[in-house]
Amino acid sequence: MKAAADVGIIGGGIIGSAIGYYLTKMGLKDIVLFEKDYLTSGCTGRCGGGIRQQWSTSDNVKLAKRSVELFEKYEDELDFDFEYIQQGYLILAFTDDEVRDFKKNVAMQKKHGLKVDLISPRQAKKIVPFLNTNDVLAATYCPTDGLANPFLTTFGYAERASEGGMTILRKTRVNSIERKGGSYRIRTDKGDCTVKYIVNAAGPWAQEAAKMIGYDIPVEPERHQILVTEPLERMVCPMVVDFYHGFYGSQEKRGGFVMGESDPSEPVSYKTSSHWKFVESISKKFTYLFPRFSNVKILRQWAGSYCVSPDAQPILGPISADDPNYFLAVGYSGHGFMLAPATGEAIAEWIVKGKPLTTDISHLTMERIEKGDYSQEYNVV
Amino acid sequence: MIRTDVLIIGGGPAGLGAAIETTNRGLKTLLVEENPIYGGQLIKQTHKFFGSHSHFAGTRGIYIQDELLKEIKKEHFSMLPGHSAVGIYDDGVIGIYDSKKNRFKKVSAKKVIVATGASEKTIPFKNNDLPGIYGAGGVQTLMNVYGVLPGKKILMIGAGNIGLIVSYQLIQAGADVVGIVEALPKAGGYDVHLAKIRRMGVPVFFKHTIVEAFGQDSVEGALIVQIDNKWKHLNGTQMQLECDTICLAVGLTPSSEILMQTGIKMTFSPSLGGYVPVHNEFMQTSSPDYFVGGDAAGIGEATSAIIEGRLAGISASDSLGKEKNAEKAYKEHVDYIEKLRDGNTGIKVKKGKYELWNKPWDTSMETFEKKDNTIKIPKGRTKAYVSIECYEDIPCNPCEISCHFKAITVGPNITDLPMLALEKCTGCMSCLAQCPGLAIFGINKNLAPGRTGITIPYELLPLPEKGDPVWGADRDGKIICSARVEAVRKNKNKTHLITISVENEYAENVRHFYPGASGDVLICRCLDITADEINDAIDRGYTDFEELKRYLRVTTGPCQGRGCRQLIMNMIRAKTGEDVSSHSTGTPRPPESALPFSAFTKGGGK
Repeated sequence: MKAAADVGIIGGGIIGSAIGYYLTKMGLKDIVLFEKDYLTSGCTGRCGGGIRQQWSTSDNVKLAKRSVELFEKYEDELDFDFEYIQQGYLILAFTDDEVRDFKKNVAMQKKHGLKVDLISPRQAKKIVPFLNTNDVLAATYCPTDGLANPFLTTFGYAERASEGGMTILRKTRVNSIERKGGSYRIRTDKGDCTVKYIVNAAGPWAQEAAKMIGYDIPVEPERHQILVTEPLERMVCPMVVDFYHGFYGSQEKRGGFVMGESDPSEPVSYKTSSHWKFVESISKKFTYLFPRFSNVKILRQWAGSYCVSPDAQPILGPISADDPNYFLAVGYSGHGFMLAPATGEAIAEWIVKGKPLTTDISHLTMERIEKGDYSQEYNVV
Repeated sequence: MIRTDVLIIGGGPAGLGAAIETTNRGLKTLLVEENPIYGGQLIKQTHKFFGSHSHFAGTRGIYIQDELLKEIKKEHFSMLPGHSAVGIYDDGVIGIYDSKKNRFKKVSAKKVIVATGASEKTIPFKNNDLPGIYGAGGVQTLMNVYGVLPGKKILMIGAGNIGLIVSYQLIQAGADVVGIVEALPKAGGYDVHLAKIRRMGVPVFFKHTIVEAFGQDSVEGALIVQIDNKWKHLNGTQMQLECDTICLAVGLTPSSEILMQTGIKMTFSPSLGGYVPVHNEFMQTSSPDYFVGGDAAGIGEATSAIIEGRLAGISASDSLGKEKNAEKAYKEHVDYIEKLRDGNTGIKVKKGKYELWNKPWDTSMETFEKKDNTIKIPKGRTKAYVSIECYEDIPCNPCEISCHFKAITVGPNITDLPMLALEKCTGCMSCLAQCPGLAIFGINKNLAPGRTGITIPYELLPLPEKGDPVWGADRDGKIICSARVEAVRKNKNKTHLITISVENEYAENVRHFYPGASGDVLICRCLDITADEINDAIDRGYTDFEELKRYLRVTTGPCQGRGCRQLIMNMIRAKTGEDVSSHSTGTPRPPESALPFSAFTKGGGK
């Protein structure tokens, strides 16, 4: 193992890989990425792959919009097919409250330059002809939202970052971190490495990695279950999101429908096992929304962890003023994949150039948490 | 009229052998050969010969005719290719026909040596006139002389040496041998030839016979059936095999019709394959002017044909007063041919010849004491060694000669089994490429921790490359593990040595390999993912099963990896050489088989 490096990244998921990629793109070569198992072995490897810009907070909209700009360039820039499709997100409103919130959100999103509209159920039906819109009051639709393969996206970033000089250490578990002068000594089960900067991109295990230098950060792992159907012929179907019943689902590029739900009763845990309640519950929701598909077959259900923060927005930047070189890229609350490009770029800029330049993430640091001064993201499923 | 001292009819091994003896004794010799090329059956025998090292053993048949030609004294020799003998007339004139010029010519010879070889037998079955049914010898000629492969899927009838050898050569030529049908309960050919075929996965149907060929305009398949000891078809055992070519290797019969025209004595000898001219030990027929040798004098194999030809040549020379010490000249060859016909495989011919010569026959001569040549490998043996898997008393000794360390002993009796002195074996593996039966394998238990190197004599193209992932197959050709090519040693004699490594537990059983999973062979059949795609991904660094799964989506189809998980693990292991058994291979998830949403919405309660 390398005895020393400029940056040590903890976590080989989409976040760690994206940060590694942007660091090498900005010319930093001396980087080591520590992955306790295999690349994507955490939440990324269980991720559904949605890419959405329709958020309720300005910061999430900004990050998501910038991410889409970067996703649009990804394939050419990295020369890597990551199965990206921009087939839109259609978000359904079933109550008057939702319609009111959606109107507000759309106005805010439009202010940020997002191409998004509040549409009627009839318009929604036009976009998704087989959707049951009987109880739908309104919907919002953004055609540039989409879907990609999170595994391939991670592998693409990792491959290019390795070519750029980053060392990826798989099956290497970080056991502890020691402060050593202005540096950190990362102790792993395979040896030690002293680094100037640490990036905590450990997803659901972010809290553990922060504890290694004595911080308790307010992020928690939470199981979310998901399933995929047998592949069906490709039909243009945006991701359909229903906050009211707690459902999202879309057809991926290879034909299978991937869908998940939110279960407010899910306790904090690292569990990624599958439960029958999920398949029963989502079957009802799916066949309600897509009655024609009730005989489509379910191939497989699985689960992954969200790394949930108090406001459902990521926590980015230095862990504290005392440890300005220990960076957090955590707490993405289930939308890390879609925010990875923009936050990867921002963290890399912060390390290489001293501050984030492209996207303003000043409201997303630990400071807001400590001060309790944050706005809640509601558009989470 | 062409005048000559000796006329030899037939330019195969016996004819060429005879010419060596007559020309070297200064006799003007004319050889006529009906084919445009000399060598008879040698010209298509791409396999290595058995016998004694001093008599071309270990040399491929196709090179032997040139060796024989070298020994012929050219100043006394003339050859007429494309000429066949068509008659021996009452005045002793031999009529020959020049097929190229369409001309009949006459030859007057003091002595005639007939070395006309054999013709293929056939067996009756329904539709045996369908295009696509060949004699095995014909197939061998088409393939090895003219470079024409008669078909893609071949059914071989007969597990004698010809059936086994031609099957092997068909595979070398890229055909698929769908099976070998043999009426007897065991192969008539050498065990080592059988072993070679079996480890390439060719099924052998013993106690079976062909009943019918079927197809519209040419062969599309065959019906075979099991038979009992009285050759009666057993009901309910019929089996259909799909094939486009049926190859008959059901035996040879001496081709000596031309001699019958002279009125010499003929006899019927089942052990010699049919009607043969009565001849003595020195190959003289009942007439002092006619000699015979090779298959025309009784079906044997090519090495003894050469020797018989030489004996006929000496005899003819002797009768013309050109041999001063005939007894000595005969003895060398007679002794050698006796040795060749010892052992269970040659004894039938020996018996037939003894009957012909009215030599006393003792049935005790038919039983041979076979040495036990199995050896125990001491546990601590770390040096490589060879495993000699030769358990049949065939006349052969190239292994003994090829060993620089005198670790292998056959002894003066070349039908004795080779004995390995393990302590002298250095593991150099020189003997592997020399063994005509490809029956010696190299074993290196010290190749890498947990892995054994197995060196296999290999004659198929293309050769693998070092590092290639391959499948390890057992003696029946069944894939039992993945393997990796560790070394490729090319040899001038075209028996190349390929060392593959397998996990120790498979070392005793792996004796062949198939080119690894590569090309557009589907591995993950649910999602149409090919071996090439998987190998490329592994090369790209996706050596962790879970990463590979997410990179290619292998095992994420409806079968959830049931069909391919193990194959893919083997491919990773074979390519990287790493032990990946501790790696996660993904978690099977519910539902076990795909179920519709409707199944979960129909009540069921809380």
